[in-house]
Amino acid sequence: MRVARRTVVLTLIVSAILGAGVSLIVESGHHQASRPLQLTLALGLVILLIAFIGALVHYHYSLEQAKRNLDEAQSLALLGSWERDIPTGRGYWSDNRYRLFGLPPRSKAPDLEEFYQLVHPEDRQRIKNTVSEACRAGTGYEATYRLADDRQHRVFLSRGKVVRDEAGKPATLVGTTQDITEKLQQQRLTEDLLRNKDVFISRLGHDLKTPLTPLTALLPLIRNLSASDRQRELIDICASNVSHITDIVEKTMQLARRFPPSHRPLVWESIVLKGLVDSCIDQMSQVLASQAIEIKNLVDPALIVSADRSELYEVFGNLISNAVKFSPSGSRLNISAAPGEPVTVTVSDNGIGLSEEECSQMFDEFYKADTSRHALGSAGLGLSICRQIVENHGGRIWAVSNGKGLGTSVSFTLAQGGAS
Amino acid sequence: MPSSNLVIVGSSTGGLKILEGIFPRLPVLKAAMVIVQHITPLIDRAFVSSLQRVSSMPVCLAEEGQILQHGTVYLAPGGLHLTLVNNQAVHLAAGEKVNSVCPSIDVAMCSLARPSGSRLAGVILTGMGCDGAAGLEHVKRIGGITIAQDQKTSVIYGMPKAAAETGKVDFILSTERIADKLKELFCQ
Amino acid sequence: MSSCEGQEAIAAGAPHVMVVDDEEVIRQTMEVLLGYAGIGVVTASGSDECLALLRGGFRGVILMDVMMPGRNGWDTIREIKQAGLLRGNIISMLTAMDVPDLQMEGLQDVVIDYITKPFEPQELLASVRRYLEFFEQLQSAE
Repeated sequence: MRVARRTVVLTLIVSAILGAGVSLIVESGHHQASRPLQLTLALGLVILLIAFIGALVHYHYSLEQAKRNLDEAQSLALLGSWERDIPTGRGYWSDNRYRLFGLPPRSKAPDLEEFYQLVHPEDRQRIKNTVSEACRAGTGYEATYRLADDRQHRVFLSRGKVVRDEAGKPATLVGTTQDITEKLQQQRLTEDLLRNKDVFISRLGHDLKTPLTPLTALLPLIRNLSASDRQRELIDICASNVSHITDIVEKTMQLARRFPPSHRPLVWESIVLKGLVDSCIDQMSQVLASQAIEIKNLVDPALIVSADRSELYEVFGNLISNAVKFSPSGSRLNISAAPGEPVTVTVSDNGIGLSEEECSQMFDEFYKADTSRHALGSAGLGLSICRQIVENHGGRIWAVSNGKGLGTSVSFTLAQGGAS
Repeated sequence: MPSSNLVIVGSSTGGLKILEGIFPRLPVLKAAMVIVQHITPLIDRAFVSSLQRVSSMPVCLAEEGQILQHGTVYLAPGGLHLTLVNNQAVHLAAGEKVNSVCPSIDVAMCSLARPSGSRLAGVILTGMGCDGAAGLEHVKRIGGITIAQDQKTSVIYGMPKAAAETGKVDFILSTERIADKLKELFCQ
Repeated sequence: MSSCEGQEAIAAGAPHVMVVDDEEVIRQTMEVLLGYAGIGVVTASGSDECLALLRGGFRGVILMDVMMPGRNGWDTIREIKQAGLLRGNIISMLTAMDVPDLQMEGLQDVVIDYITKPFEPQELLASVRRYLEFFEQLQSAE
């Protein structure tokens, strides 16, 4: 609005100057001698005037064009813009705001009281409070509201900002209003989807376990009843695949249980890390012994971490059994921890080692390090479970290897705990 | 000889299987063993008989006023809360369910007093819910050794988990290792 | 598997195990598996059939599925309890869930065990034999 006023003033001034120029030339035209010069000058000024008017028309046209574009953009974005003079309460709404509200555009926008009447009665008081608070404090605001008598039950988001005058007093409230109904629906849909995904996975797991039951339970019986070695061989293939599916189902459900936002809340406590590692090694002693794997717990007995005990136990269980799986018999495993905030725990083996690419992908679901060997009996989810647990704790997990055959180190961070 | 050493075991769903895994590994202990199993009065005697089949120690259903003896196993009867007077005399009383069960492990464990010159161990085995967690905390507070079953060998990892989460558990052990630990503690 | 070959019948004839499960495939599996081990089985597809069998005089081991449409396993046990039909029976749950179920609250003293699906045949048979031994103790104690 200000720009338009300035343009009008400018036009008037330029017209006045040009007019004065022309009349001056015509006046001086009474002197015969300088007539051709005067004519040239007058003609020049007239051309200038025409050019100026042309520019003005062009400018006006461009302005119209910009306004149309803006309106077009606003209607695409389901957005309206507005401003309101704080002392007088007088306002301006963009055309699209009228359209959003289902009103015919008019030159004088509804005053504040009229606007409040348009708002849904349940939201009215809240909006009044928000706006008056923003005007008083001279800050901005963001508020959502519905309209009274809106059959589509749309939700609008208004963002306002107070512009101050030279004296620093709140002068104008400018802002936008957007129909965010669809956005909200999308957001709700996403949240529902995430929640449903977890329900779906556990439901799927449950439903897979039922048909797996006769397979698991009856295949050994069929094997015993079968007469030929060849048949038994084939049944063994089936049986090992069934147990592979069972493992995948089990692990997938374990993983799904740990996905945000629906994962079980962690029970934080201060844990003596060495003791926890000891009891985990103790539990796995049979597997370790059968593979002749030597394991060393190098964790400082004084080191205390803050974590969920059973979840942390699960991480070590998975990391150790993973290291065992990819280390030849007779290998060594070391578990160590570097103190600090956070504590960095490392499980390192001298097994088959990994390429850089494998290191970065090994925590992804269903990733298997050794592509040449699609060994059954491993769902490829153990490390994903580790990552999910560590991330739920706010930590991170990564792997480092010096290359093929040179062993792998998996490290993860944990919060330091207070003295227990 | 009245008992001084005491092992108190809390157990629930799946407990029969676990206890049947522990007892064959146990010699006669230099301690009385009290088992609080969530059980109805309908099947407590059968439970005693089942345990007796695999136990080298005599197993009996605890009776009011009984004085605990070393090398004997006492099962809390169904439908009554068991408490110990001076850590050695059995007291049975009907009462409100605690943690929605009767007998309650918490009630039994919390009735214990600080032992003087004798050994005390509390064990929480498989089961749903959180009964026994507060009891085990109490056992720890009065100077006892506390053990909870691990997740892998628990039929239901509820009670042992709740116990472990108190942070007052000395050992989290598998079925086999619980037997080994008890042997180690009460067999010299 | 040696456990399947062993056909030492436990009081052949009278069924000693009741399988309550809405899934026909589970009932069939149980019938075959326990049948080969010489253990008598009756099946019920839900709460009503289970109670009817108990009213008809069934005494033994009940393997109860947790998730069933309508009245689930827990509801059924509560009904058995209310109807005074608990006596002489041993109940173990059959479940595909992998986490403790809060609906169990208050039934800890009634349910002696949990079997998770899918199960290995030896595992199931070992459990059922344990329950049957327990059931025998129960009968001789009464």
